[in-house]
Amino acid sequence: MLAPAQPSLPQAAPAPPGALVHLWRHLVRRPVALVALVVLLAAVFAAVFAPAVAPYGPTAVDFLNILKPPLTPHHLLGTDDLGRDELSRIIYGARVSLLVGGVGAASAVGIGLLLGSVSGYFGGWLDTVIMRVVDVQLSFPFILLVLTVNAVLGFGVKNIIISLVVSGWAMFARLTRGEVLRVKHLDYVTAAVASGASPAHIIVRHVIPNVLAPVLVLGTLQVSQFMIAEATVSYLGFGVQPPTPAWGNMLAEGENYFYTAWWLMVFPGVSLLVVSLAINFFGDWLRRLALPG
Amino acid sequence: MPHSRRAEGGRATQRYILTRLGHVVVVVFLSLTAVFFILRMTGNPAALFVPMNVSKTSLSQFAHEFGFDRPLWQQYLTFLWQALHGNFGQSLAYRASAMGLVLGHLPATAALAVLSLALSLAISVPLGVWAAMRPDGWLDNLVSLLVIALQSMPIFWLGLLLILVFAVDLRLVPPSGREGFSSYILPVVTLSTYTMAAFLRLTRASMAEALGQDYIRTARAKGATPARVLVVHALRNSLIPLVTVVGLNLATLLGGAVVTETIFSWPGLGRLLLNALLNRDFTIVQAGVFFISAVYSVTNLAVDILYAAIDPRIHYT
Repeated sequence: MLAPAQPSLPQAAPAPPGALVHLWRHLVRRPVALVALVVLLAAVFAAVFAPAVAPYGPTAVDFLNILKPPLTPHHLLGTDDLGRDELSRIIYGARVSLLVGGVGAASAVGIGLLLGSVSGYFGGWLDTVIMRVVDVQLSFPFILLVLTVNAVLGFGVKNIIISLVVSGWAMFARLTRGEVLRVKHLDYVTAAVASGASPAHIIVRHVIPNVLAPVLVLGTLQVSQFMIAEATVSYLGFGVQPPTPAWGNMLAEGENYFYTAWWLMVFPGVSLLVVSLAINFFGDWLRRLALPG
Repeated sequence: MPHSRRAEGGRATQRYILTRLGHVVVVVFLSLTAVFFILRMTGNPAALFVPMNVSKTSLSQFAHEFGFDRPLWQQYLTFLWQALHGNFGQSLAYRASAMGLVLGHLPATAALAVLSLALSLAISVPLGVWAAMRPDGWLDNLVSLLVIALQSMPIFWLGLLLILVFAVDLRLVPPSGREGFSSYILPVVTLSTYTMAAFLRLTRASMAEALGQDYIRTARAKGATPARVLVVHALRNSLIPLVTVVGLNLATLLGGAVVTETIFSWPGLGRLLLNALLNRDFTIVQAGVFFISAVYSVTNLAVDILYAAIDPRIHYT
């Protein structure tokens, strides 16, 4: 599933002075990952402090400055059909994207970890039921599942997060289960069972920490997949609805000005691509670090 | 292989296929059940199925006509019974058979999907093989970058950019619809990018693994030409996992078709399903879910059977 790491990659230093220093040394040896991290932090900063960073409000209408091209004075990325500042809308749009991607992926990972480890650890009918549900979910196009759940739940930021989690937990459950089956019969788990620890204690303290690495790596990559999925469904008219600025619905609105205002079609997409690239490059670095070989 | 062993293998194969067919039935049944209850989760299905601006009397008339006034378990059993006979009810918007509509929109999607799959494989297999020949060479690194770029790309936006450049600016191809050869180009390119990252990564990884095997060294030592070693010995073996991944990516392909067809106004199954969801025409959604989960399950069963045919090391258990 994941390509093996390159053999020539830097290996862990023999005696690192501290975990953070160790991580930092790894990071500076791969400038791409460092750049990715900086871009990611900048995006998070802009999203969190949007009211301070953005020059205008995301819905501040200005009918005197409609469809201004980029580099217009006071409107770096131009304005849309209502004279709203494109840059400001993109900064506020980052809030939706990062919130949906971050909270969504974290929840999907959490549920997948829990159900996957229960399924793998206990086996039996519980395992059969959970894995059958996983099979059904994974036999269905992810984006269509998100659209269906979203059509039923209703639109908006909260419901698109729920839709993504409901549609996306299954692959983490399957991955976790596989990892749990791998560590279940290792000595430290057997020792914990023999010493009378409860199943809940064993799962939380001994099993999950030892299957965490691949799940977290996949979870990192899933942040960008959820962001792209949110933008896709919002573009299709589901998900986050106008006037709340989200990169997907901005592209849908911009599509009406295909022939006249190219910037409305370009900048929200570029923003999404750049943040996704940053997440994926960072995730790739994390994978090589956490899962060598 | 001795004759008796082959007969024994044949029985094992039969048993395996029957078990797997049972799994297919279970998965399709669970999908149908899930979609039935998900679509009825929020309140009155009649209100959910019809537009907002309908009067109370025609709403209850409508509810009666479609059986929404009956208890849920009755509706469910009726639904299953009719589904078993291939009857998925009438589309509420089209006033036509829901399954008929799904099947009617299939050819456009199938054409798009097959061509996209072919394009995706035609690009990713040679590129992946080439990258694997020199691990960590410039091309290998370039392919790694390409994989990350493809994973990061919002593909619906890529499709919009293609329209912007090649249809609106350069006027080389039509921006939408399905008329003539040139209308296929942009949708096929767009849809092919959905599967390309997975195929590239897998071809590269399994080719790199195959090239490290003992039988490759033996073939080289025997004096086989590099081309023969590559194609006959390495490629044949590394393509086996690719067959499985192509089957598993059918879901990705169909999901991509929903997006691609909507962007390019392609008259296929994906756009039909999306519009059905938007218009709350849920009988079409139910028919579509049945169709997709059946096609996916059967295809992957076929892939697993094919797998054993290509790779003699694999036996059914």
